[in-house]
Amino acid sequence: MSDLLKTITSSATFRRSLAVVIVLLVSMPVISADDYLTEIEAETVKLDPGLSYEKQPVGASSDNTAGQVSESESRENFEKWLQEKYRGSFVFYSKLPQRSREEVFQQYTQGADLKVLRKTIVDRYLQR
Amino acid sequence: MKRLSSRLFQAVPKVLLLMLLWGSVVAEEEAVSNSSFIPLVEGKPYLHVIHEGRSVKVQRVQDPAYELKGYFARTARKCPPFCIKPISAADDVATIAEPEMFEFMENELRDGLGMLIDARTKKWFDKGTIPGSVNIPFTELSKEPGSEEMQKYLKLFGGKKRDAGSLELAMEQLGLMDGKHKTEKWDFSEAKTLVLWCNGPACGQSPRAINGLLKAGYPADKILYYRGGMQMWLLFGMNIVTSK
Repeated sequence: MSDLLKTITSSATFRRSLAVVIVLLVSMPVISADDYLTEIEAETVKLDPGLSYEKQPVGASSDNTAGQVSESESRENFEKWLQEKYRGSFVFYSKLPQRSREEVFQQYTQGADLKVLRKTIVDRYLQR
Repeated sequence: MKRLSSRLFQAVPKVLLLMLLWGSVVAEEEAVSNSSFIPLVEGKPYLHVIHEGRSVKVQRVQDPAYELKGYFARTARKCPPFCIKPISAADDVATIAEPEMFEFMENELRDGLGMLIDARTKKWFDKGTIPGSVNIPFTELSKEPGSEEMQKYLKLFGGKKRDAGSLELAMEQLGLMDGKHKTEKWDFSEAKTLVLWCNGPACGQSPRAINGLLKAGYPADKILYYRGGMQMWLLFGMNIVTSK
């Protein structure tokens, strides 16, 4: 048995086949995590020419466009949003003095959720 | 009599204010329904989300002749790695479409109970992202579960570290104690619902991030996969934002 194995492994055909298998294995397109990252990062370069759509301003524009948010998004937008979505809170908010409104808006820009905003609005309303 | 008339007098401005508010609601609804305005979904013309501390209005392109151009209009990319991905990113992780995204943005995200995660690398994020998203690249969320970085993210998502004893764990396994959303080292019962997305159906970045989170023990039912990603978002004409 071991003689047979020796004969097979020492044959030129076997060696050639082994070499072919190794070459095939090495050349197979195996993508490692690093290669994947390299490929997706390289893909971002292709993104530039197609950005015309995204460059249209949305904040200061009509409803017919879409794209980046304008820097002018501010308290006016917040008030509009509050009025549209949370009418009840807006009614109280609209009765607050300017400094209290500013305080509510500051909380909003810092990412406070609606519960916090509502509490501030009601507190300030009652403290008027 | 005098008191009654005085009360009535006081109530008049309130009634007028209510009528005015109601009138503005009706007028707004009529304006939207009578026009050819293209809403996000039926009955929802647009929505607002907070993006980096600012309110951003999410809406669709209103020009019916508009055609998507550029990178995201391409139909094919080299495969691998940009092969079309299955509908599901992982077992028990639900895949969502745009209407569910809008619901999520208006509810969980707004109320601080959820996070919208752009799982692409920073280079992609810098070119534009879906409003309300935070950038946590898949490379970060694929780190080893015990690593410092991963622990930082799990805490950020509302996970709490725990040191459960073997008795407690055994009781949880037997169902004698509430073990839902808990692992040996983490309590995710108050953790946020996460929506992860990347470039679209042929993008593997968010599925990798999702699998990284699952490996770290994050509950599958608190993860959602927006498979449409940037490609479908833009195809439907929704706006995107860029970082400051």
